[in-house]
Amino acid sequence: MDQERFVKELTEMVGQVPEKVEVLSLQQPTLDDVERRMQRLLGLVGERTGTQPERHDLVREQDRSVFRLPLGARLVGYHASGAVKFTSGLRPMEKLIGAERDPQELLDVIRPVAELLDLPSWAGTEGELQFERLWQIKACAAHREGSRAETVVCRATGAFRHVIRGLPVWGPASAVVQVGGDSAIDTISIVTRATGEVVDASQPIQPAEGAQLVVRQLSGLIPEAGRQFMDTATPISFRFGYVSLPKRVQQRFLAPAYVAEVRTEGEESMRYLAAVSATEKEFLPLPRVGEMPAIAVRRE
Amino acid sequence: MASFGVEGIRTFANARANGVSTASDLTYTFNICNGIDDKLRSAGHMRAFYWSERDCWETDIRDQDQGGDDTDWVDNVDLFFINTHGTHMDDGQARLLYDTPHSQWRTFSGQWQLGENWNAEWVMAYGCDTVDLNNVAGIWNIFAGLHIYCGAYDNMYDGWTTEECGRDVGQNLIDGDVVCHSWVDGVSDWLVDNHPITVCVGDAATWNNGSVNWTQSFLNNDHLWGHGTVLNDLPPGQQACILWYWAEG
Repeated sequence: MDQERFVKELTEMVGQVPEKVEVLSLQQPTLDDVERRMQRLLGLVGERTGTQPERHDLVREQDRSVFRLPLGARLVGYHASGAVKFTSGLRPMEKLIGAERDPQELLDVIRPVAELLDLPSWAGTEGELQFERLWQIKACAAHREGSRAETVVCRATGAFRHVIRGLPVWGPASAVVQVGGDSAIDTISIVTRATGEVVDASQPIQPAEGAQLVVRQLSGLIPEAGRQFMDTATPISFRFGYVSLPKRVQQRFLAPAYVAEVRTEGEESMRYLAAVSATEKEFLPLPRVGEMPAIAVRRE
Repeated sequence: MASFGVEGIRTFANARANGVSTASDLTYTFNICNGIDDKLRSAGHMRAFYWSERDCWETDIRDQDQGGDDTDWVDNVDLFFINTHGTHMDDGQARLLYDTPHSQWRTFSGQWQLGENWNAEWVMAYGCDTVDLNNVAGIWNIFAGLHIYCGAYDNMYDGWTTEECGRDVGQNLIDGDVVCHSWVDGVSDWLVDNHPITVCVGDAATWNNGSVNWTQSFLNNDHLWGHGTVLNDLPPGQQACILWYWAEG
């Protein structure tokens, strides 16, 4: 695909972009903040999961705090972002949901757990957590002679997106509710950063300009002359919103960005997710580049 | 404690220059590989090797009987993690791309045979589409004592939302989650569809005439050494079924 068409196709996917967008400061959570969030999540799910002890072990590690809980469960809080994650300790093939079923039935299983978590209260005064996507974890088996077992649904997973001032915060799902059979809670994670004041407000760059920046970023993946990344690339989606960095990364601002999803074709295909700033001034370190190997010793 | 090996290939200029593949470079290869390496070493596990770029060779995983050198590398560690481009063949074989022909540009899982009298328990491949969801048995031959293969049944993603995948998989493993859950949970950001899948073999009791005893499987029981139970190897003569566990959305 030539570059002009690539940019055009991306641009057409973006939908409506607001005329003016705000850059928000983010509150850096203290250790106490993170552990309060952990305590709060434990308070919400502890009784239901049988993991609410009178006392629990708190372990502070380099980048996270951990509550070691009964039944193999744990609750983790990440110091950089305040993200919290509860893991029940259920084995993957315990508490199966059973035979494949209508997705609506699975959503009906997820909804009460989401309500138990009081998701709106994790979204801040200017935000909300909107349901985004249903995921399923399934298992199947086949005999050596070729016969196949019935597929079983092991877990239903609801992904929720943090939306602030009408703009989605792109990144890993902002909240995840994973449930097994008998409505057993398997995993809960919440990655919502607390916003502060407005630090900037400006007109975002045009989608076509954002698409050009994506092209520039991705073109580096085939740097040699005579070939272009776009030769084998197909746009999948192009979205506008805020961007959340990974949970182990501190983030000072919530700034608007364009997020592109691109697939490369060929004998070896891949999908890429690229984010570029949607404001003239760059508030976030996008793109973050890969690190070098831990060891650089050459092989003999 | 476990021994492990890591291989990561971020650039494929050599493969492209030689007309082998049109594959683009990756960006977060070493965020992912460094992440699992760091986490496993932090818990005292022993890194046997960590090769990068053109120091990653297809002979490292190819069976010795097929002219490879797996007994010194992949089949000589408990856990092997690789990040590169992948796909599967029409017959269900997994295929991985390298950036140097040592001695081939690609490895084909038809030439793997892991876990025999050697070490390999778990292989993790962060690369696209190495398992055919409609023909998972296409990789059956690799289980010569190997417990679980962790891969993908369609495209995986390279981007900022998946850069912590290696670290998350490693953290899950040393937190005591089973290997199967460690992979699926660790590589899923629940924004993009990373298509994770884990595959193992089971005996006749696990197959149970088609009413599968899921709780007996490697999927449900295998932890990284030192962090919980690990089932005994299942030799090919006792393997009656193949089991797989995947996420879809």
